Amino acid sequence: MPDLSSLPITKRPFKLQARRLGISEGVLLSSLKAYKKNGLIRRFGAILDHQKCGLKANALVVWKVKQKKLDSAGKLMAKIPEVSHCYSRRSYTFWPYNLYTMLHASTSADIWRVVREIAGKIKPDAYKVLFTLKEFKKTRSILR
Amino acid sequence: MSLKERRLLEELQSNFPITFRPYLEIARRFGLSEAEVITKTRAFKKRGVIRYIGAVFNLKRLGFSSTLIAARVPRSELKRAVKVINGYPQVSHNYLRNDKFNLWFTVVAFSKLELLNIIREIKKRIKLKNKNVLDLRTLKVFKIDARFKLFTHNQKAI
Repeated sequence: MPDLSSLPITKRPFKLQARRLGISEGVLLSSLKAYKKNGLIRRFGAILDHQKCGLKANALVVWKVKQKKLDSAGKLMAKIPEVSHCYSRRSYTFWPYNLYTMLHASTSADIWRVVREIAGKIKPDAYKVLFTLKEFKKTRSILR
Repeated sequence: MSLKERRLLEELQSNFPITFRPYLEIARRFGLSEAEVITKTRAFKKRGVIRYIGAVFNLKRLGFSSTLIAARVPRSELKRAVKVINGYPQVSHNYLRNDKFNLWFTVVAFSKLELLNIIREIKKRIKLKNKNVLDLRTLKVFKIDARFKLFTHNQKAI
């Protein structure tokens, strides 16, 4: 399992982790570069707290889009800077939404503006804006 | 936050060097000293602006299974449900949202079997009926990029 602790903020931040893993700093660096290149590591760097960066409004928007339009809608949404995540997901008869986007902006008005802009382009059958009311848990997930 | 600070943050999140002395390299790009960059970065971490520095793995490629669950939990049972759900280290995020499906959480497990077992156990422990749970398995990923825009168009870096 990869080492998931945050890098120390020192002159030689990789030194400690390399020692902990029992490898040289050079080997650790070249492995990280290789993993980044082959996609095992999505990105490497600082992960910011979006609230503290001024993005106070966060919403999950669920969309119901016709199957044949799903791909083009997903690609269009992926290009929008306020969208951090965009997935198609399993849907149900009583929950017909098949496309999911996470949106981050300074205010909820900004979220609505982006939502209307997207809706105007993809013409969904339905959508819902689910604002984040409370964060009960947010670990620096190994998920992302 | 000043424009300079935002430029440095942007560099730390998007162009962090994987080298022996990453802060020295960033310092050179900005015409600062290594010590200055380290001091500023530590301050960002202390203020909580930076949550973490390191790798973001593609968990699917590493063999993990994950899903997003939406649950309909009555207000009166919310506190207990949150306690149960948050007790699982495999639950990475858990949010309250404005919908009849009010509790939304993500589960990441080492295998599909572990994932299914956890979901079954949570449903049992908080007495959730099937109709009150949505297992929203990912079918296709169009975008994952939790880097945040630190610039508006008229104050673009460089």
